[in-house]
Amino acid sequence: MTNTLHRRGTPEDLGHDFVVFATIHGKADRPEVVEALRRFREIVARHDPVNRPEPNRGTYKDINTVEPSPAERGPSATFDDYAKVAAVIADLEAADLGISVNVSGPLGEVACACQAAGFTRHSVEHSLGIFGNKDRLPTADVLEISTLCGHGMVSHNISRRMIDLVKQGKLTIDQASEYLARPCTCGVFNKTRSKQVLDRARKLG
Amino acid sequence: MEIDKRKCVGCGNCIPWCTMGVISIGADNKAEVNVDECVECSNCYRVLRGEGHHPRAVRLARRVLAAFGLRYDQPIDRCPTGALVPPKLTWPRTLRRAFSDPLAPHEHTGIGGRGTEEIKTNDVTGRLGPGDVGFVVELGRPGLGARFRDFERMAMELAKVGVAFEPMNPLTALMTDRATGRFREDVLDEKVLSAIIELKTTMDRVPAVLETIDRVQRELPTVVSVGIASKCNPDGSIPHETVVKDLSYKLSCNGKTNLGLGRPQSASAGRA
Repeated sequence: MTNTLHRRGTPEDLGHDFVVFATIHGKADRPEVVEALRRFREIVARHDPVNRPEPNRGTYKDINTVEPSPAERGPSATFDDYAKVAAVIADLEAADLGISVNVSGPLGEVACACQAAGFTRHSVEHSLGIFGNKDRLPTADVLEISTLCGHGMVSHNISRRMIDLVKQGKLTIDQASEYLARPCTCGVFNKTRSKQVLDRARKLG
Repeated sequence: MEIDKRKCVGCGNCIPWCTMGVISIGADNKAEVNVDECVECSNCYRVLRGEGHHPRAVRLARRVLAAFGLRYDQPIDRCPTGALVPPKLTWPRTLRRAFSDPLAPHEHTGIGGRGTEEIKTNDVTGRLGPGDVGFVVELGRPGLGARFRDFERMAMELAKVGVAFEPMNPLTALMTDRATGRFREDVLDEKVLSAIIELKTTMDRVPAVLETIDRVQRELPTVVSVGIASKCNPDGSIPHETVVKDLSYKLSCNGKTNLGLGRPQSASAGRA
C-alpha cells in the first residue's frame, strides 16, 4: 500500500516523483500471483529506482508479534526520472503479468508513457487537496517532506529537525535524507525530492 | 507506546520521531507518552534501535563527560537503553494500531496500511464503471490524527446525499448502519493517525458530495485530504475532470493512474 495521492510540491518538483506499485485483489499467496510479484520486483529493479520497500519489512503474526512477511502484497518502486518510468511501464505491459499496476505521479506524463507503450490508462484518481483545520499544519517545506511517506510515518517534527540540522551544518543533505527515509517501510519516500527541499531550505538559511 | 521508566535516561531521541508529537520529557526527566493522544503506530519503536546499554552506565558516562565540559549525544536514531515498549492492546484500543501502523493488516480486509484498494484494483474488480465516481475522504492526514467521532460526523452527512460506502474498507466495518453512516459507540473516542472514508456515487451527485465535504470540514478539529476517481473513457480522458473544474475545484497535476494491466474478473471490468 502506498497512499501517495497527496504529495506536495511545485509541478516542476513533482516531475521527479513517480511511484510504481503492484496491488493484488484477493489472496496474494496463489502461486501465479507470487510469480507475478517476483517478476514485477525484477522489472522495476532493472530501472534503478531511488527507493524500494525494505526487504522482509515484516508483518504482524498477531497484533503484538512482528515476523517476516511471507508474501508481500504491494511491492513498489520510486523513481525520480520520467524516462525510467516510461521504460518500466513498457516492460510491465510487455511482461503481461496479469496483476494491477498503478503509477503515482504527474498524470500527463504517465498518460504519455502509456500511449508510448501502446495502450490507454484504465482509471485515474486526483487529489482535490487538503481541507479542514489547516492552521494546525506546519510550513510548506516541512509538509513537502512529511507527505513523501503516505502513511504519515515521517513526522512533521523529524522533518523540521532535519531541516534545522542541515541548516546548522550538523548533517549533510544526503545524511538527513537517509534518516528521513527510514520510517517509510513501503519505500515510497523519494530521497531525490527530500534532498531538493533540504537544499532549498539550506540556501534560504 | 509505553516507556520503561526504569530504563529511560531522558535523552529525548524518541521525541521528534513520534508521528503525533505526543512524547515529551516529564517532571522526572524521563520520556512520557500522552496515552490518550498516542495512536500506537509503533514508529518510534521501529526507527529507534535499542542499544541495550545499562541506564546506570549511560548516566555515569554522561556525568564523567560533563565533568570535563564534554557532552555525548547518541545518534538520533538510537534509544541507548531500549526503553520503548509496545504494549499489549485490548479492544477498542487495538483499532489504533490496526489503522495507524502500516505493518498491521486490518482484520476486515486483510490489507495493511489504510486497508483500502481504492482504484488500485479497478481494472480487475470493475468497482468503478462508466458513470461512477469514487471518493476517498481521508481524515487526520497529514500528521494530525483523527478520532472515529470525526469520521462518523463526516460519514453521517455523506450518507444523506445517497452514497454507497465501500464494503471492503475497514472504516465501513465499524459502521453499525451503512445507510446512515453511524459508527459503533464503543470506538468513537479512539484516535488513529488517519483513515479513509471510501465511497462510490454517480457523476450527477458529485456537486452534492463536494458541498457536504466542504460544509463538514469546517466543523472538524483535524484536516481532510480528498481524492476523486473514475474509469477513463476509451480515449483515455477522465470523466470527472470537467465536472470538478466546473465546481471551481483545483485538480492536482499529480495523481494515481491504474494502468489497466490486471486480468479483469469480467468483461466490463477491463479498459473502456
